[in-house]
Amino acid sequence: MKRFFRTAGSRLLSALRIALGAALLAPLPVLMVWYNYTVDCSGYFQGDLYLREVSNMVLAGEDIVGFEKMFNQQRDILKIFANNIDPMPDVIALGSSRIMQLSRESLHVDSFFNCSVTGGDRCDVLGTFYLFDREDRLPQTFIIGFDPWLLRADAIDERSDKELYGEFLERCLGTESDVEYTQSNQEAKWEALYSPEYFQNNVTFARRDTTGVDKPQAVEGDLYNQTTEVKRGDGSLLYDVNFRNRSMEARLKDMNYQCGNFLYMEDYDEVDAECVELFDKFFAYAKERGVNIVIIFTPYPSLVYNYCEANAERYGGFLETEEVVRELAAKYDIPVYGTYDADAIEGVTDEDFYDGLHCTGEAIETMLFGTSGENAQLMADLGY
Amino acid sequence: MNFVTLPFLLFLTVAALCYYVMPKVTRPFWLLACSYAFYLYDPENARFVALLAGMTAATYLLGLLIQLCGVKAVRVAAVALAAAGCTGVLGCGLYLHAHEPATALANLMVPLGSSYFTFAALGYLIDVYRGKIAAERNPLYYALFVSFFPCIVTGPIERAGNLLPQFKRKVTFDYDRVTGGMFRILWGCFKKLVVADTAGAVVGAVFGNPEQHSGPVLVLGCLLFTYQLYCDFSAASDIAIGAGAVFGIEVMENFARPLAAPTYTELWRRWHISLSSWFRDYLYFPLGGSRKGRLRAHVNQLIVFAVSGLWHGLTPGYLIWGFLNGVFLVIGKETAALRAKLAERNILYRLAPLRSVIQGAIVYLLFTATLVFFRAASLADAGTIWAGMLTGWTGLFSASFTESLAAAGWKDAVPFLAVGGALFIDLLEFWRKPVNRLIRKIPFFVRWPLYYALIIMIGFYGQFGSSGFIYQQY
Repeated sequence: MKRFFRTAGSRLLSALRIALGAALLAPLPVLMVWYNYTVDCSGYFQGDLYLREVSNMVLAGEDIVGFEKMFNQQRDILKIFANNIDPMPDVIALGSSRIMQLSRESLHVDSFFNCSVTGGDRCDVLGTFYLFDREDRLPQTFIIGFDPWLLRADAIDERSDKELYGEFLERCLGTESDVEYTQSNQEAKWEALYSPEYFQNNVTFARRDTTGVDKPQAVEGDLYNQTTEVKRGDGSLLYDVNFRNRSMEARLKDMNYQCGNFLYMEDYDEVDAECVELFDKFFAYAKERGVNIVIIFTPYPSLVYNYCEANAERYGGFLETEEVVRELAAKYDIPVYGTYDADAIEGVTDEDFYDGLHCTGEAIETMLFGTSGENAQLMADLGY
Repeated sequence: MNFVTLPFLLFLTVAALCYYVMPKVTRPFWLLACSYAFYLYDPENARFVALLAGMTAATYLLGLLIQLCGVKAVRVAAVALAAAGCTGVLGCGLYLHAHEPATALANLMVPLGSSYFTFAALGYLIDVYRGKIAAERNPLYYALFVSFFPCIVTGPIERAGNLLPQFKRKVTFDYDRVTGGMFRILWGCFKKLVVADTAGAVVGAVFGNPEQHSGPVLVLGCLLFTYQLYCDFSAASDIAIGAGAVFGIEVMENFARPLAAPTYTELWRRWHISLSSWFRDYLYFPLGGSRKGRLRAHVNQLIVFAVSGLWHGLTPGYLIWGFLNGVFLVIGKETAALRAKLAERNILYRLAPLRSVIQGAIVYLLFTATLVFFRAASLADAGTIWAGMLTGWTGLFSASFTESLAAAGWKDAVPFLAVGGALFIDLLEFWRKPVNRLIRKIPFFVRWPLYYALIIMIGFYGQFGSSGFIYQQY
């Protein structure tokens, strides 16, 4: 009996010590969760409150600061936008952040809206097309910023709407979705709550000089001197002033980083035949629906492109994408502009890139209109 | 399941709670179930479970055969069969992985933990053959030995003589041991996430594009890689040892402050101890060790290190790395007497701490020189690095040099984390006492701030989601 009590007492003491230790350590994770919830740089928890407000501002054509807060709601905003926009713009751009610099000014078109989303994959491109198609409110022209990963089967962003994509494929293209539904936004949201990575992003976000911007709101003051990203009234993105004015060394570092860590392109041997077939069907469908398609290849820095050429065995898929897409486009008389190779574009150098992936709006304009600033063929292709 | 993720910590907590609640006799089998659950967590590994179970069954039966059969030829054949089978699977996997990394066959042939399994099972069979241990009769204990989850990913490569008796021992909950183990896990997370992965970002930038960096940046990248490798690998061992301690299993130490070793021989006594000792016991000694003369001993040493290099991968880079290490060891042994004489006349060596620093620095530089071949993507890249090291040494204090360092990622908090982290790690490991035991000797008013400091450092500066452990691929 004595031994029993001694053992029980010892266990109770150990349990109490563990409980005390856990209680002393608990404030750290609790603080992290609280911080993630309140700062919420990607707008998982606070974003919903402003969703409608931001959508309305976009619909009203206002420029919005603090758009980082809505990064994970971009697709939701797009849905509200597609349902409510009036009048419908003549030209809509689809794609990823690599085409997000395309604006009314750089395209020389007033009736334009950029519907590209950060991390845009093929689910986003086709899904966004479907948003307008299912409402039977198609613009006269869609510009597709054709990123090389659109033809890579496994290059799927976790934020893209796989259900919308699947619905489009099933109903309009008569095929089954090739993308597995992995994680809902809801799951990602709760993971963010306790994610140390998200905590670090929140710390970085909170330490930035946001000049009082704690939620998305209309731009006040000089548009080009904002310290947060600006979602322009035409859907294009204006990076914050500090990012736009980074030193060449900092940009070179980002370019160098892509050499060997190339987004979605590492060990990409060849384009996926099923993805090519999918876009074949999509182009046929778009033609059937009477909508113009214009394809734009936005460039990569020559440093990155040359690296891929020098390591062609690892980037075969990337290097053959242009040719494959051009062949496909020719089949449907779809005009194609631009190239991934910055060296091949007159007037564009690596100084026209913000980092290893994104070129400036001016570089896109130079690519489309040349140094003369005119391109009658492009305007005709856009329907003017 | 990656050791430095929340799912692993959660898994470990649940596994440990259940372990101590259930009857003692069932605990090893619970650990076996946990080991397979750990293995199965990643769906990629699920297809390898049959291979793991099949090889476990085969080597278990071979062990019994070696123990029970009186015919020597049969026993030798059984060991040879096991050796051929295990190293065949491992060798094919390594070859295909190095030369055809994208093929499905290559992926199929390199299951997670195959190295651990191979070395553990082979060591066990050879020990049974030599009569050092008795063959394990209970297949579940044996299965747990070859799949013990804290060790299966990156080792330490355990010996049956150490682990099997511990599985059979009745473990009682010991607060100091469990919390010490938890601290060891925290320590491993700090070394991996804060120091190794921070250094790894610079190393990746330098080795990714060596032609774009000047000599000083290349030297920095190479020096950092040595420390990154140490922190990364020893962190995995720390977590394995810590996890073992939580369950009352004492996993062998794998590192003993190797980068402070005064000689190259000493470095290899302290680096990846479990593998070095495995090669010593099961390859170097059978080859004759040092019993057949000096020359033969040196040749054996070179063979062992060449094999060790090839174990990392069947590429020329790894082979050169292994061979160079063997050469340095041989030179070190041959010149030991001469160097001892010269040291007596070296006035710098009269101060013991200074002597340690100089000797440690020389060994560190030599080891770093070999690791260039280990880390470079190809021999051509290694050549570029070696050639590039001699360039760009003018204007070391100019703004452009600082900018070139920044371009390689050596900026902001990185220098502080790499250098400060290294000093901090050395401070705690200086005492040559396992940190899980050391921490329990420290008074609580120092211990608890240390816990907080480590967690906060990990929270603010940990590189989450960047990569697995370097040695996970071997």
